Amino acid sequence: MTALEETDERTAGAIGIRRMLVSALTVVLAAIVIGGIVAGPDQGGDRVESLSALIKCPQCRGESIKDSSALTARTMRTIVAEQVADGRSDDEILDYFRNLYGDQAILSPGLSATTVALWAVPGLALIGGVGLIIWLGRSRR
Amino acid sequence: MTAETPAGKAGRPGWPWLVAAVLIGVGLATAVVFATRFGDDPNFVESPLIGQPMPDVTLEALDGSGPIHFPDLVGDITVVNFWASYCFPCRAEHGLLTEAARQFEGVNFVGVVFQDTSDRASEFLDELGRGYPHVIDPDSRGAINFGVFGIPETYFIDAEGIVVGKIVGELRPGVLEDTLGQIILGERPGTQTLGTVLEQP
Amino acid sequence: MIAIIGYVAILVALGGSAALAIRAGASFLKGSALAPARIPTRAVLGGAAIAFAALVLGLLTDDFSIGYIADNHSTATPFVFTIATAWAALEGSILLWGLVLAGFVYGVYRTVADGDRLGVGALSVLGVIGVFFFGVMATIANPFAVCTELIGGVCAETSWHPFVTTVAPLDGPGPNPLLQNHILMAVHPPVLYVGYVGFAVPFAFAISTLAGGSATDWLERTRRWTLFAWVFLTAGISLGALWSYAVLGWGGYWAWDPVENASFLPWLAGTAFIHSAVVERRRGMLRSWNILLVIATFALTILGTFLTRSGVVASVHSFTQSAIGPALLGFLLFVLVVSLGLFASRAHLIAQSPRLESLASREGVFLANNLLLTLFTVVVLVGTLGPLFLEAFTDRVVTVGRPFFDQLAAPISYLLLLAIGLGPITPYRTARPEVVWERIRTPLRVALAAGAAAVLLGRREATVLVVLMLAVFITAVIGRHLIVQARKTGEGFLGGVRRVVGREPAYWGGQIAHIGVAVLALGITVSAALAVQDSITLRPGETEEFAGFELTYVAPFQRQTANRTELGATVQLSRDGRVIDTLEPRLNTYPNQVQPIATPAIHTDLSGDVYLSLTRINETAIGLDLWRYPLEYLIWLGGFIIVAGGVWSLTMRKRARSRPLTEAAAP
Repeated sequence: MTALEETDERTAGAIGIRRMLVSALTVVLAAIVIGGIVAGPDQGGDRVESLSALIKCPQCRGESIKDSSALTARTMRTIVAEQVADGRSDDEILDYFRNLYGDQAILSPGLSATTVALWAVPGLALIGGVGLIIWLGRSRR
Repeated sequence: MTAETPAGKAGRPGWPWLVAAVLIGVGLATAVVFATRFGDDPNFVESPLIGQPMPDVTLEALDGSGPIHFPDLVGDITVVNFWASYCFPCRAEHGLLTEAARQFEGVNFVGVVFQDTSDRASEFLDELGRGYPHVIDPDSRGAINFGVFGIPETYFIDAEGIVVGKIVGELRPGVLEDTLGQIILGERPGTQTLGTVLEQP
Repeated sequence: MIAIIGYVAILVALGGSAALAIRAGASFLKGSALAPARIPTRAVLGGAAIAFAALVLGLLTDDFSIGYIADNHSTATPFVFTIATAWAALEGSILLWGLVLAGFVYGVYRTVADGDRLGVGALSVLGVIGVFFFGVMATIANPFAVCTELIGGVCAETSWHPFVTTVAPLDGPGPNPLLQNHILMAVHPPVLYVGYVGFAVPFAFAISTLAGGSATDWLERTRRWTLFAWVFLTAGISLGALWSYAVLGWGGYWAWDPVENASFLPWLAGTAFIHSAVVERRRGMLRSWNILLVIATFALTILGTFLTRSGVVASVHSFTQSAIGPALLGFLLFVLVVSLGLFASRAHLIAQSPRLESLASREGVFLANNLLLTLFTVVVLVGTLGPLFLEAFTDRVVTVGRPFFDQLAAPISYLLLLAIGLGPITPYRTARPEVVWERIRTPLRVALAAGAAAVLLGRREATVLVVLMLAVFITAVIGRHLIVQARKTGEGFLGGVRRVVGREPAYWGGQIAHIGVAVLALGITVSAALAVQDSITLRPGETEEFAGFELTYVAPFQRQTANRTELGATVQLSRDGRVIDTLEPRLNTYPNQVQPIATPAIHTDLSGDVYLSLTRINETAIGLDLWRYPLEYLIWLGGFIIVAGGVWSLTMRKRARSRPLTEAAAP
């Protein structure tokens, strides 16, 4: 009888300690992950890279000059780097290629008066969908 | 994501009509947009250089006779043809270009060797004849400044130095003459697609 | 002769489709619903099969009097690609579409009994679809159009019907080199078509339900058909991506190309449908939403067929331009107007939904899943068609490429992964926080531990860490659920797992597919975030370092095979001075195309892929494009697991009347 009670007590104590350990470990793990992400490379910081990803390789189908290794793409990357070094703005650099290869040269439509619809339609769909779901959830109470 | 209220079931089937109308509207608009494009070449790109001054490009002559500064050619009509030895359409159209260069004496013809070695390009010209000056474009900067997608592509610049025409793909007999005739008359032929271009060497 | 047999067979299939549409339709409208369709159904299946066999026979016997064969076949084409040529170009691909449709018509017919009004109506709808496709084959896209005039030994004129005197060139150019460069191209289209066409079956039953004007068990009837189509569509898309990666040599597997999007759109809508169908079956909700989704899925398959074949969008994969474009566009409009018109006038008769008790419930997670998948569909649709709209209305030409899709697809995908993880731990009706916490805490900790381990191993990329934790979370949730269930059976661990997974294949197949999605997401993220790329020039004997490997150019080689010339380089791949592989990236040249096709060489081991693509080769040196894709194989493994999960679901017994066990037994 006493032996059993003792075991119970010890188990209860062990469980409490284990809980605390698990919680502490969880916090440590979360801290490591968050620390890792914060210490991570600053993504999209390199202007040459991010601009190159937006410019279409004229010799390829749908590939950017960042991804392509065609000779033209390599030279265009060099041109981007030169213009970045010259202190040109992103828009100026993109316009430079637009003026040579047409609007198609830029892989992302960007945000302008004409292209706003491309971004707005998914946005409106999201708002509408979320609204509908919330309404579904509330109107049934 | 639909919401059927009891009232809706009984008397007013309102929302399904609305949904159907919107979707059919989108479908109709899509159909209209597509219908306007049947028969158009989806790969066609109007060159943005048309109406712009000739690109400021300097390239070394293939035969070692020194650099050619393109804007120096202003004053006469200029034809700039991009080609390479591995490009079969270029091989096929080469004769038309040399013939036209002979026929139109007052017109500058320049060949730009695109992504090819000078040895191979020289061999090609030894075999098929030179006819007019050729320059080499080792890192494709010249091609980028002209907005070249592939080869063969041929650009036309008028006597004032404004780019007035571009032909994409292999030239056909008579096309050079027609285009040059239009330019001499002061017209702007714009971009024409005659065939596909070789994108990779 | 073959042409006439084939063409008559198409006419038979067309007649069968028309008879099926009319007779089944009349029977449906009268309400008598006798299963009337024995002869028409056999005519459709027999006609389509004979027509297809005739085309294959024509190819095997080099019958160049048939225009399609003269344009796409050559005597030098190897056997496998000769067969595959039957669907390598436009008319043949439509014939294959028709054959697959005929198979589905016959399959559905076998499930329809007397008095089965729903089934009879569905047969009539399938008949209408058949009339369109076989009608197109009989007129503007006839695979048996024959050669009537030769110019320079090449077929220059064809007659749209075969009842004329024919001439035949001695040989043809052979199929498009891209299509005969790899065996995958023989497999990918038929698999994809089975997926595409399969969605016609749930569509037909949904239309039949709407036309009947009262709720039916159409979802139950079509659930296996839908799953079957979805499995094939998934496999088809995966094979297409694999082909793009292993054959095209551009170093990627997915380019957001319009034709790729065309197959992805119905997949997204179909996947949303499969999930919302679960909600209707379990809780009776979302009835009209399900009908809308299945209409959307079918319409998107027609849109995809149109995009691929009309020549209106620039794409690597398009067929050539043809008169079939306007016809498909017309059919798409017809489908939309008729089905949505029916929906508008009848939906209120069918929809009688019970209440949603709480958003914090399995139903709520399903709604989130459907919202996300619908949103994904909208994004891909806008990205694919948006530029056309802009050009038509504003005259501005824009390109919508990878940056647009990646920016919008990435957040949607993260949320989808989260929903996949949360689904199994959320009970139906109402989720009490303590229940959810009880089920979620261990998987959460496992996911955190995986993330922390990755950080300690040196990974810092946010996308990699987030997706890794999500993937581990999904797997841990499913694993925990499985272990808890298996314990309850009291049959030991392995026996318990087998028992649990076996008694509810529908549910567990879905969970297997979810693990596949987690693996796939991890593969996509890791291979992209940690990719290394370089371009090098090597002379014979030279060695260059690349991403921890050494590459040595041994020697060039040239080989002549039946249908092509292979010019390539032997490259040794070593690591730490030890040779681990010999690779042969090459340029294949086909007699009918001057431009060679780069065929990459790929070395795969546990750490991932080294991908070599030959860009130039001459006497003195080679140019190589190099890619290092860590864990790239997870993409293919993930795709395989998803398909395997679907197949597992399909194995379930036909309609288990008893309540599924999962709901009673917790998660």
